[in-house]
Amino acid sequence: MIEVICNDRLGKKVRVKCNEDDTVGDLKKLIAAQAGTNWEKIVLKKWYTVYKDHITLDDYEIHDGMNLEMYYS
Amino acid sequence: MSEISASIEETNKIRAALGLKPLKAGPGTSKEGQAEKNLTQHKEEEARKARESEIKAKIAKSKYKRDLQKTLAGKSLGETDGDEDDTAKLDVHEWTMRLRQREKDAAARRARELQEMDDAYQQEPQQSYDEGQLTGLRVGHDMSDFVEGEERILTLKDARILEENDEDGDELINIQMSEQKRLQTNLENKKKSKQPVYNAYDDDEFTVGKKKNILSQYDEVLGEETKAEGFVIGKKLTRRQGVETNGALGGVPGGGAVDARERMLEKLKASAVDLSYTKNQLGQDYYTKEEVEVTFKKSKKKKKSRTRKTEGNNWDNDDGGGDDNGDAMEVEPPTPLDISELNFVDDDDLQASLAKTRRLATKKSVKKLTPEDIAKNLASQAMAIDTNNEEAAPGGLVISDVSEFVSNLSSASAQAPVVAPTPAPVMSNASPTADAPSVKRTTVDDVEDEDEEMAEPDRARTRAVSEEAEGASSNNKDGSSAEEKDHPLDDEPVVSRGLGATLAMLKSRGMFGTETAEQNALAEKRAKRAKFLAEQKLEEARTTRELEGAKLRDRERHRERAGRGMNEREQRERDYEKERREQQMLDRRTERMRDYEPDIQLKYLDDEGHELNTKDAFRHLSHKFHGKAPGKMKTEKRMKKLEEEKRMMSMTATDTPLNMAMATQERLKASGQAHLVLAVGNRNLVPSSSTDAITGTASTLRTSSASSSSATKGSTIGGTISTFVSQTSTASTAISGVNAPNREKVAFGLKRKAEAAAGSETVPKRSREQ
Repeated sequence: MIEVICNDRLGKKVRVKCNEDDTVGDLKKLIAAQAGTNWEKIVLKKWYTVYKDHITLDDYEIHDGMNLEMYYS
Repeated sequence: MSEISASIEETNKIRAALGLKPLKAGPGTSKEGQAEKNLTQHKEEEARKARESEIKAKIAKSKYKRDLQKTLAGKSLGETDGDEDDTAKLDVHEWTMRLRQREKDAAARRARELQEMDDAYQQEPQQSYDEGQLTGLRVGHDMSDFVEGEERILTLKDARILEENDEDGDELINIQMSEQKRLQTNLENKKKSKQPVYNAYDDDEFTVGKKKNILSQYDEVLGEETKAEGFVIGKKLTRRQGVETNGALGGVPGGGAVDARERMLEKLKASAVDLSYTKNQLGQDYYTKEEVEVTFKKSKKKKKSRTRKTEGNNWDNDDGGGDDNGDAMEVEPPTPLDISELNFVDDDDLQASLAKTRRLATKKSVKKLTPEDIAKNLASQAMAIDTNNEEAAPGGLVISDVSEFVSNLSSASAQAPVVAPTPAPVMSNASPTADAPSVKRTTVDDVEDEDEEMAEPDRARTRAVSEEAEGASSNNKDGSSAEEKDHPLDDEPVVSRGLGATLAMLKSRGMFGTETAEQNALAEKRAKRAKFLAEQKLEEARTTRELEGAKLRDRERHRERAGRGMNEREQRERDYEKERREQQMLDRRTERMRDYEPDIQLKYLDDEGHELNTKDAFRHLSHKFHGKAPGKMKTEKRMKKLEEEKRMMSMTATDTPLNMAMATQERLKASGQAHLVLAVGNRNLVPSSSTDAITGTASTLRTSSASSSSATKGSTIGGTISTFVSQTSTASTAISGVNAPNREKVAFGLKRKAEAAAGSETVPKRSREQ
């Protein structure tokens, strides 16, 4: 289990517990469930890298305590 | 801003709703979890290590105990010497009985031993504890430490009882001596620590034998005792025969010296240097430490042998070969200089190594030849030699006709501006009938020009004379002149053949250039003026004659009338007549002067009569005006310049300004070789004999130039002209040989023409033979 912090810098900062083998899509769903948004509207980014839904966090090397940028499309 | 977060249970609920598997329990990959795991692992590891070391210590302890047990074999005091199993069962009576028995046995044994000792003492009363008993004992001091006749008490050195000192066994030492030794070493250490490590004079140059290691002061290990000292009693005694043994302890007094010798031997062996290095070692970029230590042997500098070859200098006496051409031919060619004899290489080692490198390089390049290859090479070489006979190999500086011509061109162009302004006087001098109508050029002012002519063309006249003499001496040249005509490198032109020849010579030397349109116009003007002047003279003469006639007539008439008596009217008539005549004459003169065009030339001359250009003229004027002349140095400089100009004018046309060509000719003739060694090697050394030769040439040059200058001055024409003429003749004949078809091309290749008088046809043949 890892914890990922997602911040949209507009007033929402979500700390999400998830597994490493979850996909980015799963993470988005969890975020959406906690923050109350539509998961399909969420875009996760780190600098200019936009994370794609079908790839796992492990593959993106997202570790415990990492901060991700959250945008809304 | 608050974070939105959910607990694990909540998250699990959400996950279940989303259809995801629940979260993995435990910290898992979280950093804290990792840290915890690491900590526990580390602790476990440490514990294991501690356990292991404990076990090891236990094992060692038990081992030690066992060893102790081994040395302390046997029964202890409390144990009975009988069978141990029974001790528990023994009762008091039996135990006392046994004790008594044991005491009895012990007493009996003691008595027996005493008896035995007594017997032994009685049997061998003289046997004592002597040196024989001491053999095999080690003494911890050097043999040289014991002085003969001195008494020393040696004791057993302290050693651990339980640890068997297997190698040495017991050791005898003298406490005082060992104390002294310790003190000495301490003092030495103190002294060493006070000395600085770096010694300025302790350089490579001063060390003998093996080089010191780097930072050798740290090579010594602290606290390590030297074990080499000491000897074993009786051991060396048996080894070395014939050494007397009269020491109190059975030591060997002579052994100290022997030991010292051995030590010295060891030291020498340690500092030995291998002498068998390769002498001609090739230079390499990198060396091992051993290779670096083998340095180059310094070679003794050889003294240069500066013996002069006297027999090679016979040209010194030869006065340029100018006296007699026949003699010059008979000059035997001196033995050619052997360059290998001249020792101008002083670095033998360097040369040797260079030679070796070269040899190796050639060896590398030369492959193994099969017989077929050799045959092929030979055939090709033979063919090449045939072709090479016709054409000489290229290389070296070649002084050819073309190069000489080019150098002459440049010198001529340098002369041209200097010489150009003075053509007219020479011309007018050459044609003494200046007022003849056929000659177009005359001077403006007869009287003035006369002076100039007297001063200037002297040179030309003397030159003409000398040239004439030359022409007479070399008559045979006329025959070959036709073939020489097209050749740029010609002889000194002959002026004696006439005005045309003189003109051609002057033109060729750039004394005056071809006429421009301006000059032509000027010449025409001058001619006109001359004509006008001539007419004027004629007219003047006529008028004066008329005037004279009229006067005469007048006087006669006057005399006639004088008899009759002259009245006033007649007198008036006569005056009028006179006036009219004069008026008539004036009118005629003005008539004549109507087409008068004056040719004005502004010329400035200095005190010596040299023509000045504008700048110089101004300067001259200024000096005069201010009454202040330039200083001595400046005047001298100017005079020098003028002198140089003069010399330039009088120079031979076929040589360089410094007469180098002639000098080279003479040098070649003297050395008997077709080349001239300018320098050898990259040090620019000149072999001693050749330097002699050069100075000698210079001296002859000086004499020749002196004679030539005197000849040009024309002051002592009679005596000096002969030598000058002969010299120029040799030079010219020598140069005629340059036409030879095959030239020798060498380092400074000018052909050698030692013989010339036999005619120019023989010269090529001669050179071909060489």
